[in-house]
Amino acid sequence: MQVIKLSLHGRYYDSQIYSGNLYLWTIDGRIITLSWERLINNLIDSVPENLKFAAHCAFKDNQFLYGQEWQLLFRDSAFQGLLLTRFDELNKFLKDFSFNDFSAFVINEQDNPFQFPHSDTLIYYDRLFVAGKEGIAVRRRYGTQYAINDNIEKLWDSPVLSMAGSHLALALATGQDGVYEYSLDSQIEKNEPRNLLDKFSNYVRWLYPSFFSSSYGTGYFADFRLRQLSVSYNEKRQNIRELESILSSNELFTNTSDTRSLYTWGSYDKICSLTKEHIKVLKYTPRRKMGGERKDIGKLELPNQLGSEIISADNALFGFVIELDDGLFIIDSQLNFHWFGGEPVNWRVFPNTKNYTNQLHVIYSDQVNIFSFNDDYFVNQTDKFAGIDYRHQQYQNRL
Amino acid sequence: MNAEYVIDDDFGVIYIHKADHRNRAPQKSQWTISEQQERDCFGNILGLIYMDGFGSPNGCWGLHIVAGRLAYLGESASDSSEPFRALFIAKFVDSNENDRWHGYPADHVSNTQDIPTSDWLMYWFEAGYISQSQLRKISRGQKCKL
Repeated sequence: MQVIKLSLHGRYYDSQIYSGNLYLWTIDGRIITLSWERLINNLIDSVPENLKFAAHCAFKDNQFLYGQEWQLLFRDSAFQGLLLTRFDELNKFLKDFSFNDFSAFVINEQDNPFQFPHSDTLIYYDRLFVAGKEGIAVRRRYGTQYAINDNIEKLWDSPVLSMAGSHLALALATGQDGVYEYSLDSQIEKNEPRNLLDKFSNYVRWLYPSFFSSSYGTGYFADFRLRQLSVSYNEKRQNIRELESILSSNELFTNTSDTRSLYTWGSYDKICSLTKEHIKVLKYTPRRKMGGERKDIGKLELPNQLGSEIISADNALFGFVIELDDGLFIIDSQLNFHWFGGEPVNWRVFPNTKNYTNQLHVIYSDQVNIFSFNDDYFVNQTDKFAGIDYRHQQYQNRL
Repeated sequence: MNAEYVIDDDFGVIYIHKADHRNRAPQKSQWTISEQQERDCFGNILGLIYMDGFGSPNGCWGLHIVAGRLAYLGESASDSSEPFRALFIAKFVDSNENDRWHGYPADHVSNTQDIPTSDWLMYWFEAGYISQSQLRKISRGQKCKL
């Protein structure tokens, strides 16, 4: 199936999508808050009647098709075929569709009150976090329109290269100082980041209570287990995370006959190792009483040798996204390969959202392309090789 | 021996060439441009430092521009996780705050302290020396080619 694409013209640096709004950081120092809900409603109004459902699922609410209530229907190959046809027709209908003027959907446009250029942004726990050379700042969303207010709070002064949120905490990749955790628990009086890993880290992602730290050298998996604090009968149950072990990427991927790993990363239930010829994947399942289980689920040969340098990679429900020097290489969950040529300004996937897990945002110098992947609904999530298991995503996002 | 040069009489600025960034010291990044080009790289930003208030004695950054285009100026340390990676940013410091500066090829991938501050990055971007993509890659400590 073809990937469906929408474009918004403009010169952007970063994007986030959350709860019906699209946030765009412009290169000239503004943040535009756009009602994605209204923009897509407008788009849905403009497509033929028989494509409205596909447009709704592609851009507005992709969780709809993952629901358990649809599983029986999806076993009907005729229904699957119809839906796939509709997505293909929508793709043809929207071919190169771009919004040159989306001012009617702009909720707010303001000067960027955060450091710029930043290294990373994150919307988690109803807050917007911005990280960079000057540390981390946070702003709560506010009001009915959910624009970003100017009142921002500095959380930490040290440089942060990447961050991820889960378990009411931020995992922070800080380069040579390793990975830190910043608790967002309001019950803790003074939130000082604590060092979890002292190995170089320029990228970090959660795998349930654990995390994976990537770098251009060795990657590290810090395996935590959850332990329930004993509490009295009427108290709320409370879990604490305890470090079980730290494993290097060389220990995780031990087959030495393979060619050298170029990059390792992990998030949710998948840990990946990429060489020039193939990608190897471990599936991670947390265990309550001990460290998590890691199962080798095989390797996939790449269509061509990777000729250019790897910049970064991330996991989405729809597959793996790998940034190379000269473009993005995507392995979708049906094991199709996609190549989006051209050096991106920035890109993001949104596995921690409810309705936008099928989206890949790729910013180029004059536009942001919003790609919608719609194959994963038909993939057996238990046997899935490429991409996050939907059920695991649901579980982790509740944490 | 670290050679010293007067860069600017008015400001009384001295520039010192550090030998360990040219003698293959395994833990030090190495210049691949000449000493004259290294001094020019610093000299080109004197106005920004002393007149426009850019940076601080702990960190000012420069680029090596050839025919109006950004060019490589050094390579990463031989005992770094990625030895001899081409570098294109220079970091200059005046540790004792006495206008005696020295510099070295900054490795923004291996050391967050070598990532330039936002005022320098935006200045270079607006001057057309670095692209939007490079802006992000440098800020994130990611590999970045010219």
